[in-house]
Amino acid sequence: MKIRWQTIAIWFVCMAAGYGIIYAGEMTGVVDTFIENMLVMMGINIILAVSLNLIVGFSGQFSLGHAGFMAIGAYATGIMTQTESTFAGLIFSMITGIVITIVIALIVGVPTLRLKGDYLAIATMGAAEIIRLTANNLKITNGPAGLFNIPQLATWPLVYIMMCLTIIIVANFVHSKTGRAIRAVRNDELAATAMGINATKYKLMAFVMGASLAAVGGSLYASYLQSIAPSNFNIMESVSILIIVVLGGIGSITGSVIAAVVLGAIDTVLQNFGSLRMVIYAVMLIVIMIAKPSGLMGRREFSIGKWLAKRTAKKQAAAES
Amino acid sequence: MQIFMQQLINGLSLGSIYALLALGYTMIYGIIKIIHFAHGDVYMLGAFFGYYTINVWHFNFIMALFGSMIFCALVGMLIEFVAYRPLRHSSRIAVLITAIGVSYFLENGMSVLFSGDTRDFPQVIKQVNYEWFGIRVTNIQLLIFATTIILMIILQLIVKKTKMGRAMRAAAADPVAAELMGININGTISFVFAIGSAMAGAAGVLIGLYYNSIEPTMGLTPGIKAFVAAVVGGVGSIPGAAVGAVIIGCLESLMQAIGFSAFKDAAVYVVLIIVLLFLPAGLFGNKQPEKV
Amino acid sequence: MAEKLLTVRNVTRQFGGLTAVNDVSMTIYDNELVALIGPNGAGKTTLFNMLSGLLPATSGTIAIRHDGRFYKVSGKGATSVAQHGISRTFQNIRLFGDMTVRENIMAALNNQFKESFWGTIIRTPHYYRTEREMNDAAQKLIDRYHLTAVADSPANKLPYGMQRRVEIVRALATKPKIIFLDEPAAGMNPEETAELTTMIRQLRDENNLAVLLIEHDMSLVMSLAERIYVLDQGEVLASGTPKEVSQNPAVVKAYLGGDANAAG
Repeated sequence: MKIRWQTIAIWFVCMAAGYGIIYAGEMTGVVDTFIENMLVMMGINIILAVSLNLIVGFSGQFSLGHAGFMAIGAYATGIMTQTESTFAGLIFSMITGIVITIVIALIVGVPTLRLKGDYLAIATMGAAEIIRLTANNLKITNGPAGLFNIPQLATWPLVYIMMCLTIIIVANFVHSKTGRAIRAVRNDELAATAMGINATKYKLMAFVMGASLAAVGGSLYASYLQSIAPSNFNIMESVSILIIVVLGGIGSITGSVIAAVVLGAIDTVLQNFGSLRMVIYAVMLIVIMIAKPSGLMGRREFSIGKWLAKRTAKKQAAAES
Repeated sequence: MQIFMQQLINGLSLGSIYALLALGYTMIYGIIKIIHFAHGDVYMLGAFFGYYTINVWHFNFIMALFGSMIFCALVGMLIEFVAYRPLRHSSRIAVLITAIGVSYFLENGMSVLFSGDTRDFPQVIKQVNYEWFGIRVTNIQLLIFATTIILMIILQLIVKKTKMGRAMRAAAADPVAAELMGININGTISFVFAIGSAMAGAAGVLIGLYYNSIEPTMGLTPGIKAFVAAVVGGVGSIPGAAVGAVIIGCLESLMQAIGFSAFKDAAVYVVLIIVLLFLPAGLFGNKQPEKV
Repeated sequence: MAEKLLTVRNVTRQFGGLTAVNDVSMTIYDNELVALIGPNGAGKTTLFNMLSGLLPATSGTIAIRHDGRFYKVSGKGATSVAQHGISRTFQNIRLFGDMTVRENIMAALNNQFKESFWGTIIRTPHYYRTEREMNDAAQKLIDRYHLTAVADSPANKLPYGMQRRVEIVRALATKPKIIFLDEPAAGMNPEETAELTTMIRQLRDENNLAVLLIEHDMSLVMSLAERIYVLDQGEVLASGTPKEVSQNPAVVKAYLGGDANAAG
């Protein structure tokens, strides 16, 4: 009981401190537009990577279509906030994006989640490409040119809060009865069904939830950057989200967060290298994967609750002896 | 009808190129179960190598074709050795990320070295148009068909008739058992990469001739399409890859013919998803049920 | 006389041209300990897979008594079958490898507890209560079946014999009325086998359930089973008490390949 409240308090303090540091940076001018842009992109990438990790890492479904769901959120916000450019309009567009994404994720997920491994990856990639090509050919999305002059309603505090919420939602979800069922299905789908666990239901749940959070990421992306085009949501975008997940550690939320920050920082540093940037990035990717195939964190997780429990147990042991 | 036939010819040409690429995907997936994401970039390298040998060394078509095939075979073996072999026992998703890294490296490395511009491919063979019953066929299209068919026959002979082919099939069926039977697994995998990449190299030169233009990012889209073709045909099946590729090529051309060129890629993915749902192992694949 | 629990009527399963299980009928009563024996390839595991809903039968019906009525297993999915009181283990152990023993058991408790989606997201008191109750239920099983020492180790890090025990306890956690054990003693040393025998008997006595096991270890079968079905080439060759079966000439012939008199 005590540990529970301590854990919540420490997490809250950490998140508030993160906010405070960025706020202080903004005030003193240490965080200029360039750095703010970097931080916001890191935040959005954390949302995308953590939500993809829910699908790939925890429920074990290899999805290569995350950018498609991101696109739905981005276009919902891009189209709706142009006529209703208020904060309420942004939130409403975000919710609309989530609802559309849930519907589409169900349509995509119900038939394809029977597929396994690489086949599922290819099918989800195809589905995402269909979403992108639809945006490429519709009038309301302004075709290949995309949307610009989207009002900038999403500011860094909003992105920060949404990032924290995403992490909390996914972490809580994973550490629950449902989360255990999802992990059981990943470990051995057949054994899980034989234990009465409805594998399809839980796989679909993780898929739809990951997809909706990607839509949130897309909404923030569109609103902060103010312009979007279908090419922002191609296979390479799905792949770059997957890279964050794999590099951080498949099935580790902590890993996704760290990898998103590290890759964001590397990317910013590499801006100075001009055209060599992507070459260096590629070499690093190969080297990291060969050196640490299970990612930076593997499946390990940073947990204040467990740390506190261990500390209390140690103290008790010391008091007894 | 005439337009339909014309588009069918165009579709077959495109499909032949996809087929050469799809064969590499299908063989490589068959033996080490990885999506060789950089395969499209090997094809790009093939096109560039052809470009240089023709322009600088004044190779003729046949020499350029063989030159590119040999060059790409070496590149393929190198990629396997450097990027995939160290990860032989890691998760497949880790290998996929490495493959993507290799793809980025080749694409961007070429952009840095030779600039990202599109360049004209030298026309070593003068284009000649033939007309039969109102359908136009170029000598380059005929060349593409002929090259593809010959290479596929050779490949089929290698797989079915030679000792190496037998080793390939054994390693694809059960790598551990094959190794216990004395098959050199690493050598066999290298050989598969060499053959698959040589096919991609040939495809690169042919596409250069056909479309007249090459660029460092040219491999991405055909690479993905060819992989889709391999999946549609049934991964691991050589005739499957060929049939899948022709279906994808013709589908694209037909969509163009009926005025939906904007949706030609979407149509490819719709077909992909439908095939996966109803024939999860593709048209020619055979899927083994999970053993309890 | 105990009531009928599981009825199998004329069940057949074909794979292509091969008939793996042919016209098998059997009945299992409440709280019985039944063994299914037969040479390799006799169709035992195929029958198990049909009984647990993992494999549809080509023809015939399988039904289990649930809440006083008979529920047809054949044609339903494994999830639904498991929810009607059937649980099992696997010949080649299938635990949730990177989850701890406790989590394995808690996953199997899944259907006995309710948790709302929003409750887990915002962690309502109800969430904490459910988690605690599930943990307590798992702890009871852990303590009862001597898994306390390994409760928080990942399942795939455990020794083989221990993994078999965990798998049985996991099957038990679904609160089944009948449990199928597929070669539970395979790969165990005599000491572990003896422990297992005690465990299976304890399992049956304390949980009011029936056990159907496939086993090749004849001493275990003879000491444990109250009734035996012998399967050979997909058909029921004989059934009855261990004594009856061991004296059945057809069984002796199938098992020893020789003539019955020599074995007698």
